[in-house]
Amino acid sequence: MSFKTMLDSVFPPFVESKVEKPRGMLFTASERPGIPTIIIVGAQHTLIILALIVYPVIVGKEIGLSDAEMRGFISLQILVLGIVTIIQNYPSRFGSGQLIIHNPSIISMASFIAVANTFGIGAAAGGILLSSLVVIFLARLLPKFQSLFPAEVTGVLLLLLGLSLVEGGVTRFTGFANGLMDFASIPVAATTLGVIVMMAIWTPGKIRVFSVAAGIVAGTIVAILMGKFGMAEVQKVMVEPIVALPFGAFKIPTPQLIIAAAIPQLIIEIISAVDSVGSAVAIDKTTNAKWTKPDMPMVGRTVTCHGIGLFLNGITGTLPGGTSSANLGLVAVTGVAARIVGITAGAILIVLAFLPQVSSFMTLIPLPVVGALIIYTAGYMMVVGMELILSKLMNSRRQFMIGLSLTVGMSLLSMPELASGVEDSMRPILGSALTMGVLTAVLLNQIFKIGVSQTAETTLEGYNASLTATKFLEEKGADWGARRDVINKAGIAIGEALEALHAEKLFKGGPIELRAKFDEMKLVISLFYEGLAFPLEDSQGGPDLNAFLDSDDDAFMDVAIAQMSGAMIRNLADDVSSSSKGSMAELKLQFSN
Amino acid sequence: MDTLFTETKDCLVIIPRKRLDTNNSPEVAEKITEKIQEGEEKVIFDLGQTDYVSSAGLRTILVTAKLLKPKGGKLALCNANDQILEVLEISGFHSIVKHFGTLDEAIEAVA
Repeated sequence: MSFKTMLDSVFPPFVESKVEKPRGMLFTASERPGIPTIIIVGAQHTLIILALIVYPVIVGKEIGLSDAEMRGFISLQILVLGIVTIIQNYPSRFGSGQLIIHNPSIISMASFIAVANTFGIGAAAGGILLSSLVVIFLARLLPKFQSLFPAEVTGVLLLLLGLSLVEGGVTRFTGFANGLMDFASIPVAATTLGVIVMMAIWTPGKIRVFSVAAGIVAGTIVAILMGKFGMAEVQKVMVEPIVALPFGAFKIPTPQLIIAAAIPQLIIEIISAVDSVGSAVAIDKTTNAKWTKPDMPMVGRTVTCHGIGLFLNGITGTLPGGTSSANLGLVAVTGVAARIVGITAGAILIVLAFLPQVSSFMTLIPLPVVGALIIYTAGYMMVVGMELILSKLMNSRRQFMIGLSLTVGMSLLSMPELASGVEDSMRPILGSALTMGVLTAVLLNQIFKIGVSQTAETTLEGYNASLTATKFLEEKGADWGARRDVINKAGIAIGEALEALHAEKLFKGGPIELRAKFDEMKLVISLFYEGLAFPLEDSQGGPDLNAFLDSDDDAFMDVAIAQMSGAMIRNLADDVSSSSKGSMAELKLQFSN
Repeated sequence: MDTLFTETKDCLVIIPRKRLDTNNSPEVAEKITEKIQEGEEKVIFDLGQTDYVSSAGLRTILVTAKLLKPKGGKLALCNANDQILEVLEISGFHSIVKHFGTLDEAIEAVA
C-alpha cells in the first residue's frame, strides 16, 4: 500500500460539498466576498474570540500564573486558536473547509484547573495530548459515538458545569474574602453583568454577539472610576514591547501522562469533540437549503482538526479549544459563510499573538468583571443544559438517568469531603463532580437501553389512524430518547400523509403498516399500504390562492390542497421518498434527530 | 364538537381545540357555511388552543375565505403556534389571510 493510499484511507482528501444557497445567505463556503467584507467580517469573528479569551485568563489566575507568565500563556492560546482556525477553514484533508472558528473551550476549564493544581500543568498538557490522539483516531467514528453522549448527557455535563462555576463567580463578583464582601467590587461586576444582559435582550443580532465585549468595556470603565483599574495596570501594558514572540515568561511544560488525571480530561474532550460534530452539522444545515443529511466526510474533517487543535494545546500547555457556537451565530447573522473569512480571522489571531500589549491587556481585566462573566456563563450553561435535558421526551428510564447522575454530581459539589478518604491518585476522577456525574449519566444511559428495541411497528386502521400514529410515535420516541420536536414533526407529517392518501384516493383500503427505526442521528418512518405511490413532485411556488378565491372552479381547490400536502410533508421531513411494487406502495420519511 | 364558536364584538370567533384536521374539519366547515349564510361577515380563527392544522384544516380556512369574499367580509387568524405558522407559510396562506399575535389585534383588523 503506497503512502498516499494509506493517507487517503485515514484522512480522506477534501471534496467540495454540493450546496444550494439558502435565502438570506450571501456567501457560501467556497464563494469569495469583496476584500472589505472579508476583513470586516473576519475582524468581527476575531473580536468574539478575543472576548472569550477571558476564560484562559480565569484558568491562568486559578492555576497561579504570575502576570508575566500569564502574558505568554494568553499569547500562546491566541496563536494556537489562530493556527487551528486556519487549518479548519482551509480546504484540505485535515479541515472542514467551512467557516468554523475555534475558541477556548469553557467545558475544559474545570478539569484543566483541577489537574494543573493537583499534578502540575505538565500533567494537564499530557492529558490533552492523550485526548488529541484519541480524538484524531476517532474522528471518522465519532459521529457513531453520539449514542454514548446523547443530548441529555451533554445537558447533565453543562448543568453541573454551570453549578460548579457559581462559587468562583460569586466570590469574584462580590470580592468576598475573609467572610466579608468588598462593596467597591459590586458596582463593577453589576455594570458588566447588566450591560451583557441588556445587550443580549434588547439589541438586534448583529450587535448582540458583542454583548460580552461591551460588558467587559463597561465594567472596566466603572473599575477605573472606582479606583480598581488605573495607571498601575496601564503601566503593565505599556512596558510590554510592541512586537514579541508569543511566549513571554511562560515556560512551555513538559507533558506528563498521569492516567487518573488524564481520564477526566479525556471524557470531557471527547464530549467537546462530539460538540464539534454538532457544530459541523449546524454550519452544513445553515449554508445548504437542500440539506437532507450530514456531510459525514466534512464532519470527520472537522473533528480531525479539533484533534489537531488539542495536540497543539497539549504541546504548548494551553487550555483546550473547541468549535465556537457564538461564531456560528455570527455566520447566521451576517449571512457570510465564506471560508476565506475564517482564514482571515485565523491570520488576525496569529498577528495578535505577536502583539504582547494585547494579551497583557486581556490578563488585566479586573476580577469583579471576571466574576460577572463567570456568573453570566454559569447561568447560560445551566439553562442550555436544562434545555438539552428537556429536549428529549421523558420516560422513567430517562428520569432516573438524569436525576441520579445530577445527584452524584451535586453531592460532590456540596460535600467535597466525600472524596477525602480516596487515594490521591484517584481523587481527580472520584472527587470530580463533573466526571462522576457524566460517567453516571453515560453508564445509566447504556444500562437503561437494555430491552429497548430500536425498531417498532404498528398497524393503522380506521378513523383515528392519525391519532394512533401520533400516540405510537410519542411512546416509542420516549423509549428511544428521541427529541421532542422531531417526534412532533414526524407525527404531523404522518398525519398529513394519511390524510393525503385518503383524499387523493391513493390508498385502496386495508390496514396501513407503520414501521419506525431510530438511531441517535435519525428517525426513519415507512408507511406500507395497498395502493399507488405518493406523488412527491416539487411544485414550484405552490398554488395561487388569490386566483382560487376569484375563480368559480372548485376542482382547483383539490389541486391546491394536494400541492399543500406534498409541500408540508417535504418541508417537515429531511428526506422523503415514495415507491410502489405490485399492488403495495411505500412512503418513507426521514427526520434528523 | 371539540371546536368552540363564540361571538365577540360582532365577530364570529372559531377556536379549534387540539387539531383542525380531517376528523373535525367537515363539521367545522359546515357550521361556518351556515353562519355566513345567516349573515356573518367577520370571522376569526383563534388557534391559541390548536396544536396542529392539517391540509384538511387549511381547506376549511380557504372555504371560509372564499365564502366571505363576494360579501365583502373579512377573515383573520390569531395566536397560532410556530408549527402552524410554518404550515401557513409553506402553503402560501400569508397571501390571502393575515395572522395576528392576539385576538384583540385580529378583532381590530376585521372591524
